[in-house]
Amino acid sequence: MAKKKIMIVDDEESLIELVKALLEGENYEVITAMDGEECLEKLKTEKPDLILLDMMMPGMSGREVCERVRADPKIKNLKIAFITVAKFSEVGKDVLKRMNVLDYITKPFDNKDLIRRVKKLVG
Amino acid sequence: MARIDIKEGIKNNKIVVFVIPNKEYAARLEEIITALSKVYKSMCYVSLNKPYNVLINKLKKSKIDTEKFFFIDCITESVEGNAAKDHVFYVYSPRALTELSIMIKKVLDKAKIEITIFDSLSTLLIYEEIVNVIRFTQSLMTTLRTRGSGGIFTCLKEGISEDLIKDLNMFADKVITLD
Repeated sequence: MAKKKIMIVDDEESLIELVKALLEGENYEVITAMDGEECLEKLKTEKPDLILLDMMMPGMSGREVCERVRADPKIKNLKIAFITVAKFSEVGKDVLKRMNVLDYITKPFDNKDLIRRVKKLVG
Repeated sequence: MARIDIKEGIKNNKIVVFVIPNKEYAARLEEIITALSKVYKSMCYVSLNKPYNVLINKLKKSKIDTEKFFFIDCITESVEGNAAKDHVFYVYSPRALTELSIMIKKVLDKAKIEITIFDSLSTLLIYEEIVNVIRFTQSLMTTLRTRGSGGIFTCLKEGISEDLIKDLNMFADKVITLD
C-alpha cells in the first residue's frame, strides 16, 4: 500500500525538519516547501494527502495560499490544516470553515498531538 | 460624539482593527479614544508615531481623562533618552518589537489594563516588513486575549493592503473600515 503523503509548508527550516522527522517516523512520505510560491509550484505535480500550512510566511500568507488552492479546480479538494502561533478569533474560525480548513495546530505543539491529528485527517 | 460604528465596534468586540482614511485619522482616533475612555478605567496607549509629550497635550485638549492611561512611547527615547515616569514607559524604537512586546506585557500585568490602543499598524509598516507586522500583531492579539484584555489597532486606509486586512481579520473580532 502506498504511503500517505504530507506536504509541510513553513518558512522555519527547523520546524520543517522537526515535523518531517516526526511524520517520516510514522511512515508518511513528506514533501516540503518554504513559502507559498514554492508550495503552489510543487502542487502542479504533487498531490499530497494533507498540506500542513503555516499561517504566517513572507510573501503569501497561509490564508492566501489556501484561497489559491481552493480556487484551482485541479487541487481545490486537497486537505489543509493550518499551523499558527496565534489564536484565531470567532471570525477567523468562520473563515477557516468557509475555506474548508480541516484543523489548525497551534505552535508550540505537542509532538504526539501533532501525529494524532495528522492520523485523524489522513489515516 | 462618537459615531455609531465606533461605539458599536468597541461595545461588541474585544479586539478591533479600525481602518481609517488618512485625512480623517486624527479626528476618528480622537473619537475612538473618547469612546473608550467613557467605558474603560484602565487603558494602555502604545504610540509609535507621537511622543508622549505631544500625545498627553492632545488628550488633555480633547478633555480626555489622562489619569486612566498608561503610555508606551516608542518615539521619544530614540531621540532624547528618557527614564520611565510613573505612567509612561519608553521603548527605544518602533523597530524594537521584542522589547515592545515585553513592555506591553509588563504594563498589562502591572496596571491590570482593560484595553490597549495600538497607534498604529501603518507606522509599524514603515519600519517592518508586512509578515513581521502581521506576526507581531497576531501575537499581541493573542497576548491580550489570554489576559482577558481588549485591543484597538488603528491603520490608515490608504496604503494598507487587502491581504493584510484579511490576515488580521482571522485574529481580530472585527475589522471596521471608517469613512
